[in-house]
Amino acid sequence: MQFEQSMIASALIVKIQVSRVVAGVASEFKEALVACINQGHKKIVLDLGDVTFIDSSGLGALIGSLKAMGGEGQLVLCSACDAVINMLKLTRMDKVFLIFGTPEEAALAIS
Amino acid sequence: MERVTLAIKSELRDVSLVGVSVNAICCHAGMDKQRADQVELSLVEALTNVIRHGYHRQSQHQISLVVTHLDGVVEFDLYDSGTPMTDSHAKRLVQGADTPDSKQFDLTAVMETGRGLDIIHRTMDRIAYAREGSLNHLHLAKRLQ
Repeated sequence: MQFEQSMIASALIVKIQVSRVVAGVASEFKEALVACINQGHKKIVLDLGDVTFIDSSGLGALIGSLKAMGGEGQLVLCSACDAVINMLKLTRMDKVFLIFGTPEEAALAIS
Repeated sequence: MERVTLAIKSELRDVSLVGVSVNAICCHAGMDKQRADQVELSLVEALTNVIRHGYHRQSQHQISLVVTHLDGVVEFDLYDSGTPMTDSHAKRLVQGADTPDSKQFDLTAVMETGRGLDIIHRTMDRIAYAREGSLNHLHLAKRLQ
């Protein structure tokens, strides 16, 4: 899975360069995020700007990554399309993940 | 009545092809985008469950989906010959399950897996599941409006 990483303030911006986060890629997706966490990043913004669809497996990878932070630091989302936001609302995970409009807004909020 | 049959092998990588197809079919029938996205999500969850739990991730098994548009409703009949759904899972799919109050979410209690059936239950207007001979038959339907 392709990721693009950058820093804004003290937040690591991880842009997922895949359009569908589904069962076939969920494990790889989680491994990549957990690797970022294990490198010591505690403030992570996941940029979903290229993602058009996420299923329950992809959502599970997000939840697993958040749990991997062990309650220390923050993993927030940004640039999610309507389909992804609606999926988060449907599963009530919009109560678990903070969702921002842009990477800059997200980074400022958690830095 | 409009009807089309889609068929894939039990490969996770092919599930998205069905997902985007049913979304386009629903939009073509006159369903709004949000409802069509819900249908796509439900079908992706259903197909993924078949491949994971019905066929135990073994490839080369057949999955067929008949899509019918009639009288303002789009119906989906999914057939596979994998391991049948357990009674408890079938009940959860058709009747739904208790979900925690959204104000009481505790991250340690939030599960990473097990949402697929609930997603289907919440998004589709009609759901039925039956074992018919050697086939599992999942019937889903969504009104255009």
